[in-house]
Amino acid sequence: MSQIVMIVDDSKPLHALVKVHLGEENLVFHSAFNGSSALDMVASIKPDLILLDLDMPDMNGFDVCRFLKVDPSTANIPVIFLTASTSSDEKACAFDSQATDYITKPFDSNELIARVRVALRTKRLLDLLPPANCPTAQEAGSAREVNSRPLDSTCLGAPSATV
Amino acid sequence: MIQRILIIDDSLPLHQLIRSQVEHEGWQFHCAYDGQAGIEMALELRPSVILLDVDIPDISGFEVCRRLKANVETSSIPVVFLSADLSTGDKVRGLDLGAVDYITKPFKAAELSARLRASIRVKQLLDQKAMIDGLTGLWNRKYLEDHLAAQTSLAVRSGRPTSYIVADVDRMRQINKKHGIPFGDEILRSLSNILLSQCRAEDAVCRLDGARFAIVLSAMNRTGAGRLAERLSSTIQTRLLSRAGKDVGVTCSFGVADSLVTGDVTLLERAELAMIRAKQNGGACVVIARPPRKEKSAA
Repeated sequence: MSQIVMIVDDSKPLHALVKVHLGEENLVFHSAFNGSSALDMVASIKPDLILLDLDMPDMNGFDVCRFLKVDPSTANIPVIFLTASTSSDEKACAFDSQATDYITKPFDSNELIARVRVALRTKRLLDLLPPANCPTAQEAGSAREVNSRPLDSTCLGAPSATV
Repeated sequence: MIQRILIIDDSLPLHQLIRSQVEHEGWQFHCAYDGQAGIEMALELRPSVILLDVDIPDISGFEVCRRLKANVETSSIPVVFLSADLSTGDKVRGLDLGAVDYITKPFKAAELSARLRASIRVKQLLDQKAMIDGLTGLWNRKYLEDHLAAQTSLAVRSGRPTSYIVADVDRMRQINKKHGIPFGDEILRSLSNILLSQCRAEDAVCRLDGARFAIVLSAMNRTGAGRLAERLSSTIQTRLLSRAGKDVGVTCSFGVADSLVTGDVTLLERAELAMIRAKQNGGACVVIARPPRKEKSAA
């Protein structure tokens, strides 16, 4: 089954270049040209990987990544920064915003393919494992209500015994 | 939890350099100076991450990585290559062998730290997900065993008891037979949500197997745990009286034990025995395991 890659970069030629390099990897591509449209698109596209530029006109890549990672529905999507910045501080900042990897432009196509494969391999593994329990809204509501009370000191109907 | 980093590299100065550059992270470092020793240490230590040089004397780093990934005991440990070789061919080879990253020497301390943190994060996520029950999303038995051992040890050190509740759905086989297994699974999921909704955030709610669930309660004695079990029993009877227009009348048998009672029988076994006694009493009830009565000494 094809995996979905979303490219977020304000440079149209970059989108074309990445698609050419990853053309034989059985991937489906989606493009966003700024951070806010990427965040709008991500819920409906549900990508398996996001290739994210750092310097974009509206939001920078760090902010986009942080938004993705605080939302439980998108937190497990791996993010690879694809940027011209080679600064160690920016690399560290990218990983601190929970990016999976950081590739500097100009990049070697084979290295891009290999690093994309690593990220998609991990995502496939995560998808195979079961999700943690998320109680329904109704049950979660009652959970808050009940957990805010101390335990009752009286028996609530069920007969109890000791052994 | 302290993260263990295994460095496999034949250069002693490199081990020292890495330790000095990332010592602020509070990780524990272990050193191997050749491939064979590295593989053996990986099996013994189960580190959070392995930093692996490509050029090591006996077995190449690539071969070490291949062997680690081929062994089920070590395959999930992230491997990060560390090499002076800048060639793309080697990077691709290393990553295709199952490594999660490839860092070239000389490296900056900030980048090394950040890349190791990213690898540790992925490992933690995968480890956590491997301890989740597929049907209900609760913790599974593997998690329970690890967590209970840690909680029991903490209870001894802190002097605050840990309690353990085992719940088993009564007549689950008949429910499955009468309404089908998908419906039975839906009952188990609803029951899971009820257990979660009544427990504190710090309690561990687990599915043991089939229709058996367990709850580990920190800093609570058996009396408090018994009250919680009674409330759970009552809530389950009320909320699962019927489901999807079908009268199911779900009830559970509960067994409760705490760490204040010591002896040959483990906490887990005492709660299980209490739960079996609850079944023998007809189900839909709570039985609390008490300390064994002391024998009267002979006059």
